[in-house]
Amino acid sequence: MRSEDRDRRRPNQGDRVTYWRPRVIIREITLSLAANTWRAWALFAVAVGLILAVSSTEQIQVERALAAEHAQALAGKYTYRIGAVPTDATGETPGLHAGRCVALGSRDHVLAAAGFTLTDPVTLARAPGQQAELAVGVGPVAALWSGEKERRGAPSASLLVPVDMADAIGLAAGQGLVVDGRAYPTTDTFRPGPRIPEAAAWLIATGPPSGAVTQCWVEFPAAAADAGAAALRAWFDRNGGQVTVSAVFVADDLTIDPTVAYETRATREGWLVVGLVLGGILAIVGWFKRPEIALYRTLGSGPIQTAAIFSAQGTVLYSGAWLVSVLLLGLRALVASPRPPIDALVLGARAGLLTALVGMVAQVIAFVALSSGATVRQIKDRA
Amino acid sequence: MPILLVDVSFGYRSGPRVVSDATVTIHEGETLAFVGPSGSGKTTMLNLIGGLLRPTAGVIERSGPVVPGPDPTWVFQTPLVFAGRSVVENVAAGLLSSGLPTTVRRELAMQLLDRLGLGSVAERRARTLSGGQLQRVSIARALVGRPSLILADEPTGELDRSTTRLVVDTMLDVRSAGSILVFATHDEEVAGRCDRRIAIEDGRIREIE
Repeated sequence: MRSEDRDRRRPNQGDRVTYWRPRVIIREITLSLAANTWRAWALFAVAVGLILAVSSTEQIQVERALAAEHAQALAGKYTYRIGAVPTDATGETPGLHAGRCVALGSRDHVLAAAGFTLTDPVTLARAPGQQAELAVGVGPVAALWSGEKERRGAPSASLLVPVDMADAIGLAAGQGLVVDGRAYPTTDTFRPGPRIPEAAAWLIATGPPSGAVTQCWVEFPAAAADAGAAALRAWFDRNGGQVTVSAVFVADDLTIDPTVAYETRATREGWLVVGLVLGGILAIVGWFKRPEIALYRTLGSGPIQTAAIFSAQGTVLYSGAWLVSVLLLGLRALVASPRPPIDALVLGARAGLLTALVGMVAQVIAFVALSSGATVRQIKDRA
Repeated sequence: MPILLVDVSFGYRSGPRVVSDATVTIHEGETLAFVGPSGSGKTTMLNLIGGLLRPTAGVIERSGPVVPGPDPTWVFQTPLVFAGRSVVENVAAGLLSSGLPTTVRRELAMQLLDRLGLGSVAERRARTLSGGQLQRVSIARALVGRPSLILADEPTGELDRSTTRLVVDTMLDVRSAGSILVFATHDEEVAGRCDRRIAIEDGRIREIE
Protein backbone atom coordinates (compact mmCIF):
# COMPACT_ATOMS: atom_id res chain seq x y z
CA MET A 1 0.00 0.00 0.00
CA ARG A 2 1.33 3.42 -0.92
CA SER A 3 1.90 6.05 1.73
CA GLU A 4 -0.87 8.24 0.41
CA ASP A 5 -3.30 5.36 0.69
CA ARG A 6 -2.09 4.65 4.19
CA ASP A 7 -2.71 8.25 5.12
CA ARG A 8 -6.25 8.07 3.83
CA ARG A 9 -6.88 4.99 5.87
CA ARG A 10 -5.54 6.58 9.03
CA PRO A 11 -8.46 6.86 11.38
CA ASN A 12 -9.75 10.21 12.46
CA GLN A 13 -11.20 8.38 15.42
CA GLY A 14 -8.17 9.97 17.09
CA ASP A 15 -10.27 13.11 17.43
CA ARG A 16 -12.35 11.21 19.95
CA VAL A 17 -9.53 9.46 21.77
CA THR A 18 -10.10 9.30 25.50
CA TYR A 19 -7.41 9.07 28.12
CA TRP A 20 -8.32 6.61 30.81
CA ARG A 21 -7.51 7.01 34.45
CA PRO A 22 -4.30 5.27 35.60
CA ARG A 23 -6.44 3.05 37.82
CA VAL A 24 -8.41 1.88 34.79
CA ILE A 25 -5.25 1.23 32.78
CA ILE A 26 -3.67 -0.75 35.62
CA ARG A 27 -6.83 -2.82 35.92
CA GLU A 28 -6.82 -3.49 32.19
CA ILE A 29 -3.20 -4.66 32.38
CA THR A 30 -4.03 -6.96 35.28
CA LEU A 31 -7.15 -8.31 33.60
CA SER A 32 -5.28 -8.94 30.40
CA LEU A 33 -2.54 -10.87 32.20
CA ALA A 34 -5.10 -12.83 34.19
CA ALA A 35 -7.16 -13.55 31.07
CA ASN A 36 -4.31 -15.50 29.53
CA THR A 37 -2.77 -17.06 32.60
CA TRP A 38 -1.07 -19.99 30.95
CA ARG A 39 0.34 -17.81 28.21
CA ALA A 40 1.57 -15.29 30.77
CA TRP A 41 3.26 -18.05 32.76
CA ALA A 42 4.73 -19.59 29.62
CA LEU A 43 6.14 -16.23 28.56
CA PHE A 44 7.42 -15.69 32.08
CA ALA A 45 9.15 -19.07 32.08
CA VAL A 46 10.70 -18.45 28.67
CA ALA A 47 11.86 -15.01 29.80
CA VAL A 48 13.37 -16.39 33.01
CA GLY A 49 15.14 -19.07 30.99
CA LEU A 50 16.56 -16.70 28.40
CA ILE A 51 17.54 -13.97 30.85
CA LEU A 52 19.04 -16.55 33.19
CA ALA A 53 20.98 -18.07 30.29
CA VAL A 54 22.56 -14.72 29.50
CA SER A 55 23.20 -13.68 33.09
CA SER A 56 24.51 -17.04 34.28
CA THR A 57 26.78 -17.31 31.23
CA GLU A 58 28.10 -13.89 32.11
CA GLN A 59 28.44 -14.84 35.75
CA ILE A 60 30.35 -18.03 34.92
CA GLN A 61 32.65 -16.22 32.54
CA VAL A 62 33.39 -13.54 35.11
CA GLU A 63 34.03 -16.22 37.73
CA ARG A 64 36.40 -18.00 35.37
CA ALA A 65 38.20 -14.78 34.56
CA LEU A 66 38.48 -13.95 38.25
CA ALA A 67 39.68 -17.46 39.07
CA ALA A 68 42.27 -17.33 36.29
CA GLU A 69 43.33 -13.90 37.41
CA HIS A 70 43.61 -15.13 41.00
CA ALA A 71 45.64 -18.17 39.89
CA GLN A 72 48.00 -15.97 37.90
CA ALA A 73 48.32 -13.56 40.80
CA LEU A 74 49.17 -16.53 43.02
CA ALA A 75 51.81 -17.50 40.50
CA GLY A 76 53.29 -14.01 40.81
CA LYS A 77 51.69 -12.02 38.03
CA TYR A 78 52.08 -8.83 40.03
CA THR A 79 55.14 -9.86 41.99
CA TYR A 80 58.70 -8.83 41.12
CA ARG A 81 62.03 -10.14 42.21
CA ILE A 82 64.88 -7.68 42.64
CA GLY A 83 68.42 -8.91 42.63
CA ALA A 84 71.77 -7.15 42.89
CA VAL A 85 74.15 -6.94 39.93
CA PRO A 86 77.80 -7.87 40.51
CA THR A 87 79.79 -4.69 40.72
CA ASP A 88 83.42 -5.69 40.91
CA ALA A 89 85.82 -7.79 38.94
CA THR A 90 85.50 -10.76 41.26
CA GLY A 91 81.82 -11.07 40.46
CA GLU A 92 80.73 -10.71 44.03
CA THR A 93 77.42 -9.09 44.59
CA PRO A 94 77.10 -6.44 47.25
CA GLY A 95 73.52 -7.44 48.12
CA LEU A 96 70.43 -5.35 48.50
CA HIS A 97 69.78 -3.10 51.42
CA ALA A 98 67.47 -5.18 53.61
CA GLY A 99 65.98 -2.11 55.27
CA ARG A 100 64.99 -0.57 51.95
CA CYS A 101 63.52 -3.88 50.83
CA VAL A 102 61.30 -4.16 53.87
CA ALA A 103 60.47 -0.45 53.77
CA LEU A 104 58.85 -0.99 50.37
CA GLY A 105 56.09 -2.86 52.13
CA SER A 106 54.89 0.28 53.85
CA ARG A 107 54.69 2.30 50.61
CA ASP A 108 51.38 3.11 49.00
CA HIS A 109 50.20 0.56 46.42
CA VAL A 110 52.52 -2.18 47.70
CA LEU A 111 50.91 -5.31 49.12
CA ALA A 112 54.02 -6.89 50.63
CA ALA A 113 57.78 -6.81 50.40
CA ALA A 114 60.31 -9.14 51.96
CA GLY A 115 63.92 -10.16 51.36
CA PHE A 116 65.77 -13.47 51.32
CA THR A 117 69.32 -14.65 51.38
CA LEU A 118 69.76 -18.32 50.57
CA THR A 119 72.54 -20.18 52.29
CA ASP A 120 73.90 -23.71 51.89
CA PRO A 121 71.88 -26.90 52.36
CA VAL A 122 71.38 -27.75 55.97
CA THR A 123 70.65 -30.82 58.04
CA LEU A 124 68.11 -31.21 60.76
CA ALA A 125 69.06 -32.92 63.98
CA ARG A 126 65.63 -34.52 64.37
CA ALA A 127 65.43 -35.63 60.71
CA PRO A 128 68.89 -36.16 59.30
CA GLY A 129 67.62 -37.41 55.94
CA GLN A 130 65.45 -34.37 55.29
CA GLN A 131 66.66 -32.17 52.40
CA ALA A 132 66.43 -28.47 53.30
CA GLU A 133 67.99 -25.13 52.56
CA LEU A 134 68.24 -22.30 54.98
CA ALA A 135 67.04 -18.90 53.85
CA VAL A 136 67.45 -15.84 55.96
CA GLY A 137 64.36 -13.73 55.56
CA VAL A 138 63.57 -10.16 56.51
CA GLY A 139 60.16 -8.60 56.59
CA PRO A 140 56.79 -10.34 56.42
CA VAL A 141 58.07 -13.22 54.30
CA ALA A 142 54.94 -15.35 54.75
CA ALA A 143 52.83 -12.57 53.36
CA LEU A 144 54.42 -13.10 49.97
CA TRP A 145 52.48 -16.31 49.61
CA SER A 146 48.89 -15.62 48.78
CA GLY A 147 46.52 -16.99 51.30
CA GLU A 148 48.72 -15.80 54.08
CA LYS A 149 48.03 -12.13 53.50
CA GLU A 150 46.92 -11.76 57.07
CA ARG A 151 50.47 -12.35 58.19
CA ARG A 152 51.72 -8.98 57.10
CA GLY A 153 53.47 -8.17 60.29
CA ALA A 154 56.95 -9.29 61.21
CA PRO A 155 57.06 -13.06 61.84
CA SER A 156 56.54 -14.01 65.46
CA ALA A 157 58.61 -17.19 65.25
CA SER A 158 62.33 -17.36 64.71
CA LEU A 159 62.04 -20.08 62.05
CA LEU A 160 59.37 -20.68 59.39
CA VAL A 161 59.00 -24.24 58.18
CA PRO A 162 57.01 -25.39 55.11
CA VAL A 163 53.85 -27.17 56.23
CA ASP A 164 54.69 -30.41 54.40
CA MET A 165 58.17 -30.50 55.83
CA ALA A 166 56.83 -29.85 59.33
CA ASP A 167 54.47 -32.79 58.91
CA ALA A 168 57.25 -34.99 57.56
CA ILE A 169 59.52 -34.38 60.50
CA GLY A 170 56.71 -34.33 63.06
CA LEU A 171 57.18 -30.72 64.03
CA ALA A 172 54.30 -29.05 65.81
CA ALA A 173 53.79 -25.31 65.48
CA GLY A 174 55.61 -23.45 68.22
CA GLN A 175 58.13 -26.20 68.87
CA GLY A 176 61.82 -25.42 68.62
CA LEU A 177 64.13 -26.88 65.98
CA VAL A 178 67.87 -27.35 65.70
CA VAL A 179 69.33 -26.62 62.28
CA ASP A 180 73.00 -27.34 61.64
CA GLY A 181 73.61 -27.19 65.34
CA ARG A 182 71.88 -23.86 65.83
CA ALA A 183 68.77 -23.88 67.95
CA TYR A 184 65.70 -21.93 66.89
CA PRO A 185 63.44 -21.65 69.98
CA THR A 186 60.11 -21.07 68.17
CA THR A 187 58.85 -22.21 64.81
CA ASP A 188 55.83 -21.55 62.69
CA THR A 189 54.70 -23.02 59.40
CA PHE A 190 53.96 -21.51 56.02
CA ARG A 191 52.39 -22.84 52.83
CA PRO A 192 54.62 -22.37 49.81
CA GLY A 193 52.71 -21.46 46.69
CA PRO A 194 53.38 -21.60 42.98
CA ARG A 195 55.08 -18.22 43.15
CA ILE A 196 58.25 -19.71 44.72
CA PRO A 197 57.93 -23.48 44.29
CA GLU A 198 61.47 -24.11 45.53
CA ALA A 199 60.47 -22.62 48.88
CA ALA A 200 58.96 -26.02 49.71
CA ALA A 201 62.49 -26.95 50.76
CA TRP A 202 63.27 -23.71 52.56
CA LEU A 203 63.61 -23.12 56.23
CA ILE A 204 63.28 -19.41 56.68
CA ALA A 205 65.16 -17.93 59.58
CA THR A 206 63.58 -14.62 60.36
CA GLY A 207 65.52 -11.64 61.48
CA PRO A 208 65.49 -7.86 61.75
CA PRO A 209 65.70 -5.83 58.51
CA SER A 210 69.35 -5.01 58.71
CA GLY A 211 72.36 -5.76 56.56
CA ALA A 212 71.85 -7.08 53.05
CA VAL A 213 69.75 -9.65 51.24
CA THR A 214 70.43 -11.27 47.87
CA GLN A 215 66.89 -10.92 46.62
CA CYS A 216 63.90 -8.81 47.45
CA TRP A 217 60.36 -9.77 46.51
CA VAL A 218 57.64 -7.19 46.08
CA GLU A 219 53.96 -7.72 45.38
CA PHE A 220 51.70 -5.00 44.02
CA PRO A 221 47.97 -4.80 43.51
CA ALA A 222 47.11 -5.39 39.85
CA ALA A 223 46.31 -1.77 39.11
CA ALA A 224 49.66 -0.55 40.44
CA ALA A 225 51.89 -3.34 39.18
CA ASP A 226 53.31 -1.72 36.05
CA ALA A 227 53.98 1.64 37.64
CA GLY A 228 55.37 0.00 40.76
CA ALA A 229 57.72 -2.24 38.79
CA ALA A 230 59.03 0.73 36.85
CA ALA A 231 59.89 2.52 40.08
CA LEU A 232 61.71 -0.39 41.71
CA ARG A 233 65.08 0.14 40.05
CA ALA A 234 65.24 3.75 41.16
CA TRP A 235 64.26 2.75 44.69
CA PHE A 236 67.22 0.40 45.04
CA ASP A 237 69.68 2.39 42.92
CA ARG A 238 69.79 4.93 45.73
CA ASN A 239 72.30 2.55 47.33
CA GLY A 240 74.68 3.22 44.50
CA GLY A 241 74.55 -0.32 43.09
CA GLN A 242 72.66 -1.63 40.11
CA VAL A 243 69.79 -4.05 40.43
CA THR A 244 67.86 -6.40 38.19
CA VAL A 245 64.09 -6.42 38.28
CA SER A 246 62.35 -9.47 36.88
CA ALA A 247 58.75 -10.55 36.83
CA VAL A 248 58.05 -13.69 38.79
CA PHE A 249 55.25 -14.77 36.43
CA VAL A 250 56.40 -15.09 32.84
CA ALA A 251 53.63 -15.33 30.26
CA ASP A 252 54.22 -17.40 27.15
CA ASP A 253 52.24 -17.87 23.96
CA LEU A 254 49.88 -20.27 25.65
CA THR A 255 49.15 -17.98 28.55
CA ILE A 256 45.67 -16.49 28.39
CA ASP A 257 45.18 -13.01 29.75
CA PRO A 258 41.90 -13.34 31.71
CA THR A 259 41.01 -9.68 31.16
CA VAL A 260 41.48 -9.91 27.40
CA ALA A 261 39.71 -13.27 27.28
CA TYR A 262 36.74 -11.81 29.14
CA GLU A 263 36.56 -8.68 27.00
CA THR A 264 36.69 -10.65 23.77
CA ARG A 265 34.33 -13.43 24.84
CA ALA A 266 32.03 -14.70 22.12
CA THR A 267 28.93 -14.07 24.23
CA ARG A 268 29.67 -10.44 25.07
CA GLU A 269 26.79 -9.26 22.84
CA GLY A 270 24.51 -12.02 24.09
CA TRP A 271 22.33 -9.59 26.03
CA LEU A 272 21.55 -7.71 22.83
CA VAL A 273 20.75 -10.80 20.77
CA VAL A 274 18.64 -12.46 23.45
CA GLY A 275 16.99 -9.13 24.31
CA LEU A 276 15.91 -8.77 20.69
CA VAL A 277 14.61 -12.34 20.78
CA LEU A 278 12.56 -11.46 23.88
CA GLY A 279 11.24 -8.36 22.12
CA GLY A 280 10.49 -10.45 19.04
CA ILE A 281 8.53 -12.98 21.06
CA LEU A 282 6.25 -10.25 22.40
CA ALA A 283 6.01 -8.70 18.95
CA ILE A 284 4.72 -12.04 17.65
CA VAL A 285 2.31 -12.24 20.58
CA GLY A 286 1.23 -8.68 19.72
CA TRP A 287 0.63 -9.67 16.10
CA PHE A 288 -1.88 -12.24 17.28
CA LYS A 289 -3.38 -9.70 19.67
CA ARG A 290 -4.37 -7.34 16.85
CA PRO A 291 -8.06 -8.03 17.46
CA GLU A 292 -7.69 -6.90 21.07
CA ILE A 293 -5.64 -3.89 19.95
CA ALA A 294 -8.37 -3.01 17.45
CA LEU A 295 -10.99 -3.52 20.14
CA TYR A 296 -9.25 -1.10 22.48
CA ARG A 297 -9.02 1.42 19.65
CA THR A 298 -12.75 1.15 18.98
CA LEU A 299 -13.34 1.62 22.72
CA GLY A 300 -11.73 5.03 22.47
CA SER A 301 -8.15 4.26 23.51
CA GLY A 302 -5.51 6.11 21.52
CA PRO A 303 -2.50 4.35 19.99
CA ILE A 304 -0.03 5.36 22.70
CA GLN A 305 -2.39 4.43 25.51
CA THR A 306 -3.18 1.12 23.80
CA ALA A 307 0.52 0.41 23.29
CA ALA A 308 1.12 1.27 26.95
CA ILE A 309 -1.51 -1.24 28.10
CA PHE A 310 0.00 -4.06 26.05
CA SER A 311 3.67 -3.25 26.54
CA ALA A 312 3.15 -2.85 30.29
CA GLN A 313 2.25 -6.52 30.41
CA GLY A 314 5.55 -7.44 28.79
CA THR A 315 7.39 -5.04 31.06
CA VAL A 316 5.86 -6.67 34.13
CA LEU A 317 6.74 -10.14 32.83
CA TYR A 318 10.32 -9.27 31.90
CA SER A 319 10.98 -7.27 35.06
CA GLY A 320 9.74 -10.17 37.14
CA ALA A 321 11.78 -12.62 35.08
CA TRP A 322 14.90 -10.54 35.67
CA LEU A 323 14.30 -10.43 39.41
CA VAL A 324 13.84 -14.20 39.51
CA SER A 325 17.00 -14.68 37.45
CA VAL A 326 18.95 -12.49 39.90
CA LEU A 327 17.61 -14.60 42.76
CA LEU A 328 18.65 -17.80 40.98
CA LEU A 329 22.06 -16.33 40.19
CA GLY A 330 22.56 -15.53 43.86
CA LEU A 331 21.48 -19.03 44.89
CA ARG A 332 23.79 -20.61 42.36
CA ALA A 333 26.67 -18.47 43.56
CA LEU A 334 26.00 -19.41 47.19
CA VAL A 335 25.76 -23.09 46.35
CA ALA A 336 28.95 -22.97 44.29
CA SER A 337 31.01 -21.15 46.89
CA PRO A 338 30.57 -20.04 50.49
CA ARG A 339 32.21 -16.75 49.52
CA PRO A 340 30.92 -16.09 46.00
CA PRO A 341 32.59 -13.35 43.98
CA ILE A 342 30.25 -10.38 44.17
CA ASP A 343 31.68 -8.93 40.94
CA ALA A 344 30.51 -11.98 39.01
CA LEU A 345 27.03 -11.74 40.54
CA VAL A 346 26.76 -8.03 39.78
CA LEU A 347 27.99 -8.38 36.20
CA GLY A 348 25.72 -11.38 35.63
CA ALA A 349 22.76 -9.43 36.97
CA ARG A 350 23.71 -6.46 34.81
CA ALA A 351 23.80 -8.62 31.68
CA GLY A 352 20.37 -9.97 32.59
CA LEU A 353 19.05 -6.47 33.16
CA LEU A 354 20.36 -5.31 29.78
CA THR A 355 18.70 -8.33 28.17
CA ALA A 356 15.37 -7.56 29.82
CA LEU A 357 15.63 -3.85 28.97
CA VAL A 358 16.32 -4.56 25.29
CA GLY A 359 13.36 -6.93 25.26
CA MET A 360 11.14 -4.32 26.91
CA VAL A 361 12.17 -1.53 24.55
CA ALA A 362 11.78 -3.77 21.49
CA GLN A 363 8.29 -4.86 22.50
CA VAL A 364 7.28 -1.25 23.23
CA ILE A 365 8.33 -0.31 19.70
CA ALA A 366 6.41 -3.30 18.33
CA PHE A 367 3.23 -2.42 20.22
CA VAL A 368 3.45 1.27 19.29
CA ALA A 369 3.72 0.20 15.65
CA LEU A 370 0.82 -2.25 15.98
CA SER A 371 -1.36 0.22 17.86
CA SER A 372 -0.61 3.07 15.49
CA GLY A 373 -1.80 1.13 12.46
CA ALA A 374 -5.16 2.09 11.09
CA THR A 375 -7.96 0.54 13.13
CA VAL A 376 -9.81 -0.40 9.98
CA ARG A 377 -6.80 -2.39 8.78
CA GLN A 378 -6.44 -4.14 12.13
CA ILE A 379 -10.08 -5.10 12.02
CA LYS A 380 -9.74 -6.39 8.48
CA ASP A 381 -6.47 -8.20 9.22
CA ARG A 382 -7.99 -10.30 11.95
CA ALA A 383 -10.17 -12.18 9.53
CA MET B 1 -27.71 14.47 16.50
CA PRO B 2 -28.01 14.18 12.72
CA ILE B 3 -25.19 13.04 10.49
CA LEU B 4 -24.64 14.79 7.20
CA LEU B 5 -22.68 13.33 4.32
CA VAL B 6 -22.27 15.84 1.52
CA ASP B 7 -20.76 14.74 -1.80
CA VAL B 8 -18.57 12.23 -0.01
CA SER B 9 -16.15 10.21 -2.12
CA PHE B 10 -13.49 7.75 -1.19
CA GLY B 11 -11.00 5.77 -3.15
CA TYR B 12 -7.50 4.46 -3.03
CA ARG B 13 -4.93 5.94 -5.30
CA SER B 14 -4.21 2.54 -6.67
CA GLY B 15 -7.83 1.75 -7.49
CA PRO B 16 -11.19 3.11 -8.53
CA ARG B 17 -13.44 5.10 -6.22
CA VAL B 18 -15.18 2.90 -3.69
CA VAL B 19 -17.72 5.58 -2.79
CA SER B 20 -18.75 8.33 -5.21
CA ASP B 21 -20.51 11.61 -4.42
CA ALA B 22 -22.65 10.24 -1.61
CA THR B 23 -25.01 12.69 0.01
CA VAL B 24 -27.03 11.34 2.91
CA THR B 25 -28.66 12.78 6.00
CA ILE B 26 -29.19 10.41 8.90
CA HIS B 27 -31.61 11.71 11.48
CA GLU B 28 -31.63 11.29 15.24
CA GLY B 29 -33.18 8.00 16.34
CA GLU B 30 -33.14 6.60 12.83
CA THR B 31 -32.22 3.07 11.82
CA LEU B 32 -30.64 2.79 8.41
CA ALA B 33 -29.21 -0.04 6.35
CA PHE B 34 -26.67 0.15 3.56
CA VAL B 35 -27.38 -2.83 1.35
CA GLY B 36 -25.61 -4.28 -1.59
CA PRO B 37 -23.45 -7.17 -2.75
CA SER B 38 -20.00 -7.90 -1.39
CA GLY B 39 -17.45 -5.29 -2.41
CA SER B 40 -20.07 -2.67 -3.21
CA GLY B 41 -18.73 -0.21 -0.60
CA LYS B 42 -21.05 -0.83 2.38
CA THR B 43 -18.24 -1.29 4.88
CA THR B 44 -16.34 1.67 3.46
CA MET B 45 -19.42 3.81 3.97
CA LEU B 46 -19.65 2.68 7.59
CA ASN B 47 -15.95 3.33 8.13
CA LEU B 48 -16.38 6.83 6.70
CA ILE B 49 -19.30 7.58 8.98
CA GLY B 50 -17.46 6.11 11.96
CA GLY B 51 -14.32 8.08 11.28
CA LEU B 52 -12.09 5.10 10.58
CA LEU B 53 -11.51 6.45 7.08
CA ARG B 54 -11.23 10.01 5.83
CA PRO B 55 -13.15 10.94 2.69
CA THR B 56 -11.02 11.92 -0.27
CA ALA B 57 -13.68 14.43 -1.23
CA GLY B 58 -16.76 15.88 0.40
CA VAL B 59 -17.67 16.51 4.02
CA ILE B 60 -19.07 14.46 6.85
CA GLU B 61 -20.58 16.38 9.75
CA ARG B 62 -22.04 15.34 13.04
CA SER B 63 -23.74 17.85 15.23
CA GLY B 64 -25.10 17.66 18.72
CA PRO B 65 -23.75 17.23 22.24
CA VAL B 66 -20.46 15.44 22.77
CA VAL B 67 -21.13 12.06 24.33
CA PRO B 68 -18.45 10.86 26.74
CA GLY B 69 -16.78 7.62 25.83
CA PRO B 70 -16.43 5.88 22.51
CA ASP B 71 -18.97 7.14 20.06
CA PRO B 72 -19.68 5.57 17.68
CA THR B 73 -19.61 2.06 18.95
CA TRP B 74 -19.12 -0.87 16.63
CA VAL B 75 -20.47 -4.34 16.02
CA PHE B 76 -18.59 -6.42 13.49
CA GLN B 77 -19.41 -9.56 11.54
CA THR B 78 -16.88 -11.57 13.52
CA PRO B 79 -17.44 -10.61 17.15
CA LEU B 80 -14.50 -8.69 18.53
CA VAL B 81 -14.08 -9.74 22.16
CA PHE B 82 -11.47 -10.20 24.86
CA ALA B 83 -11.60 -13.96 24.55
CA GLY B 84 -9.88 -14.72 27.85
CA ARG B 85 -12.03 -12.42 29.97
CA SER B 86 -15.41 -12.98 31.46
CA VAL B 87 -18.53 -11.99 29.58
CA VAL B 88 -19.37 -9.27 32.07
CA GLU B 89 -15.86 -7.81 31.82
CA ASN B 90 -16.24 -7.74 28.06
CA VAL B 91 -19.45 -5.80 28.28
CA ALA B 92 -18.16 -3.48 31.01
CA ALA B 93 -15.24 -2.65 28.69
CA GLY B 94 -17.73 -0.57 26.74
CA LEU B 95 -17.70 1.84 29.68
CA LEU B 96 -13.93 2.15 30.06
CA SER B 97 -14.00 5.72 28.82
CA SER B 98 -16.94 6.68 31.01
CA GLY B 99 -14.94 7.34 34.16
CA LEU B 100 -17.41 5.25 36.16
CA PRO B 101 -16.08 3.08 39.00
CA THR B 102 -15.50 -0.59 38.26
CA THR B 103 -18.41 -1.75 40.40
CA VAL B 104 -20.83 0.57 38.59
CA ARG B 105 -19.54 -0.52 35.20
CA ARG B 106 -20.00 -4.17 36.12
CA GLU B 107 -23.46 -3.50 37.50
CA LEU B 108 -24.60 -1.74 34.31
CA ALA B 109 -23.09 -4.54 32.25
CA MET B 110 -24.91 -7.15 34.33
CA GLN B 111 -28.23 -5.34 33.91
CA LEU B 112 -27.82 -5.37 30.15
CA LEU B 113 -26.72 -9.00 30.10
CA ASP B 114 -29.78 -9.99 32.11
CA ARG B 115 -31.92 -8.12 29.62
CA LEU B 116 -30.24 -9.98 26.74
CA GLY B 117 -30.67 -13.34 28.45
CA LEU B 118 -26.95 -13.73 29.05
CA GLY B 119 -26.96 -13.21 32.79
CA SER B 120 -26.34 -16.90 33.45
CA VAL B 121 -23.09 -16.86 31.47
CA ALA B 122 -21.85 -13.51 32.77
CA GLU B 123 -18.90 -14.97 34.65
CA ARG B 124 -17.89 -17.43 31.95
CA ARG B 125 -14.93 -16.66 29.74
CA ALA B 126 -15.96 -15.27 26.39
CA ARG B 127 -14.08 -17.95 24.48
CA THR B 128 -16.47 -20.60 25.84
CA LEU B 129 -19.56 -19.02 24.21
CA SER B 130 -21.17 -19.83 20.87
CA GLY B 131 -20.96 -17.46 17.90
CA GLY B 132 -24.45 -16.13 18.47
CA GLN B 133 -23.80 -15.54 22.15
CA LEU B 134 -20.53 -13.77 21.35
CA GLN B 135 -22.30 -11.49 18.91
CA ARG B 136 -24.82 -10.59 21.59
CA VAL B 137 -21.95 -9.88 23.97
CA SER B 138 -20.38 -7.52 21.45
CA ILE B 139 -23.77 -5.88 20.92
CA ALA B 140 -24.15 -5.47 24.68
CA ARG B 141 -20.74 -3.83 24.83
CA ALA B 142 -21.73 -1.50 21.98
CA LEU B 143 -24.95 -0.52 23.72
CA VAL B 144 -23.95 -0.34 27.37
CA GLY B 145 -22.55 3.17 27.09
CA ARG B 146 -25.74 4.50 25.52
CA PRO B 147 -23.91 5.84 22.45
CA SER B 148 -25.61 8.21 20.05
CA LEU B 149 -24.33 6.25 17.05
CA ILE B 150 -24.01 2.48 16.63
CA LEU B 151 -22.41 1.07 13.51
CA ALA B 152 -22.99 -2.60 12.71
CA ASP B 153 -20.98 -4.16 9.91
CA GLU B 154 -22.69 -7.39 8.79
CA PRO B 155 -23.49 -8.27 12.41
CA THR B 156 -25.54 -11.29 11.36
CA GLY B 157 -23.27 -12.52 8.59
CA GLU B 158 -22.23 -15.66 10.43
CA LEU B 159 -25.48 -16.38 12.24
CA ASP B 160 -28.37 -18.68 11.46
CA ARG B 161 -31.82 -17.27 10.79
CA SER B 162 -33.26 -17.53 14.29
CA THR B 163 -30.14 -16.07 15.90
CA THR B 164 -30.16 -13.29 13.30
CA ARG B 165 -33.67 -12.33 14.40
CA LEU B 166 -32.63 -12.41 18.04
CA VAL B 167 -29.59 -10.24 17.40
CA VAL B 168 -31.48 -7.67 15.33
CA ASP B 169 -34.33 -7.58 17.83
CA THR B 170 -31.81 -6.97 20.56
CA MET B 171 -30.15 -4.12 18.73
CA LEU B 172 -33.42 -2.45 17.89
CA ASP B 173 -34.98 -2.91 21.29
CA VAL B 174 -32.11 -2.17 23.62
CA ARG B 175 -30.59 0.87 21.97
CA SER B 176 -31.30 4.18 23.64
CA ALA B 177 -34.02 6.40 22.37
CA GLY B 178 -32.57 8.87 19.93
CA SER B 179 -29.51 6.86 19.03
CA ILE B 180 -28.74 6.20 15.40
CA LEU B 181 -28.23 2.64 14.26
CA VAL B 182 -26.56 2.05 10.91
CA PHE B 183 -26.16 -1.40 9.39
CA ALA B 184 -24.05 -2.55 6.50
CA THR B 185 -25.69 -5.76 5.37
CA HIS B 186 -26.58 -7.88 2.40
CA ASP B 187 -29.35 -9.52 4.39
CA GLU B 188 -32.70 -8.27 3.12
CA GLU B 189 -34.45 -9.35 6.31
CA VAL B 190 -32.14 -7.25 8.45
CA ALA B 191 -32.46 -4.30 6.09
CA GLY B 192 -36.21 -4.67 6.08
CA ARG B 193 -36.34 -4.04 9.83
CA CYS B 194 -34.75 -0.59 9.42
CA ASP B 195 -36.45 2.77 8.91
CA ARG B 196 -34.51 3.41 5.73
CA ARG B 197 -32.52 1.38 3.21
CA ILE B 198 -29.84 2.73 0.93
CA ALA B 199 -28.48 0.56 -1.84
CA ILE B 200 -24.83 0.88 -2.89
CA GLU B 201 -23.78 -0.25 -6.33
CA ASP B 202 -20.37 0.50 -7.75
CA GLY B 203 -19.88 3.12 -5.07
CA ARG B 204 -23.02 5.06 -5.87
CA ILE B 205 -25.89 5.24 -3.43
CA ARG B 206 -29.58 5.04 -4.10
CA GLU B 207 -32.38 5.37 -1.56
CA ILE B 208 -34.73 2.39 -1.65
CA GLU B 209 -38.35 3.44 -1.21
